[in-house]
Amino acid sequence: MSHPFLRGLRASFPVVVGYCPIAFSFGLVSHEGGLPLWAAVLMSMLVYTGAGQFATISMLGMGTAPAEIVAAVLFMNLRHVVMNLALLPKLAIRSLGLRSLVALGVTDETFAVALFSGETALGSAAGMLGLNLGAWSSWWLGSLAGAWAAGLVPQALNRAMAVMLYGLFIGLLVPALRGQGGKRGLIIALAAMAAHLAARQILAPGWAIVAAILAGASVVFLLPEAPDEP
Amino acid sequence: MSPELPLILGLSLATALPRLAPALLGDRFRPPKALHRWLDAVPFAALGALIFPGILNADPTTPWVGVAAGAAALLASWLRAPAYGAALAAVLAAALAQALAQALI
Repeated sequence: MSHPFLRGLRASFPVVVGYCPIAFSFGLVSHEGGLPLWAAVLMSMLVYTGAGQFATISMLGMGTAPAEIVAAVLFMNLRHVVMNLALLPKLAIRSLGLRSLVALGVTDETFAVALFSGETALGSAAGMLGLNLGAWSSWWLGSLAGAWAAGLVPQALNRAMAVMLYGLFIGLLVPALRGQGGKRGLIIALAAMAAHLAARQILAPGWAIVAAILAGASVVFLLPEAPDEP
Repeated sequence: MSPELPLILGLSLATALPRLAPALLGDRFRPPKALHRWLDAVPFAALGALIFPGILNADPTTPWVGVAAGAAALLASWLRAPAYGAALAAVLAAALAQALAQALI
């Protein structure tokens, strides 16, 4: 068998196929949102989070202050604490530097592949670095391609492009509800929508979104626990 | 300095810290079950709050453009189109709705 790094890189293939069109869409909407190409690519390299980056463009469009955007994205990404708490002990990487490098590359998708693909190379640092490098490269390269191609969009579609982000959010939410989210996920999403509508009356736009996320997620405690919940 | 740079750096901290914290903690800390449940719910709440009511203001002249786009995206993802397919459906529906609005006024 080949080197664990290469096997990890190969295991990233389904993630890469999934990331390319979403990253391309991010490049498109970031251009619509007035972000320069270098900023879109740098954001994909450093921030490296799907929904959070789209949320950033959407909030920039509402005129949200940077601190409020950062707070909203922080809350959206707190789930990675739990994921890495579950993943890292299985890898048993001694070196703190190497462990941190692996941890920085974890996303919802690479987490799922690492735990459920059955590829044994992903039990090592080299395998995980291969998986992460494949996914990360496709994310920022796809963003670059999208931001570049945005200049070629026909004029007639320009004004309609404003709804693209919302279409994408719906396109992410519906399959998630069909999968692990179920009825619970639907109730939480609807609660967050109602909370956002209410919060907008009293709070600045950015904080209204943060408050709606916190309130909506807290509704989970009012619902019965799912039998398969860990 | 361009205005985007501090935002991007702040955002990269917001995504790096949750990823790094467990690596720095070692294997000692296990999150309580309640925190686990709440964190699992956050992505659904975030998507909900991002979609509504913002979608109604996607076109500043009329909320119906957003409604048409949302319905098209719902239909597309109901038919198991991937996320970018739903985005494309929304854009096409919005373009149609805008053309229709222009023709009626």
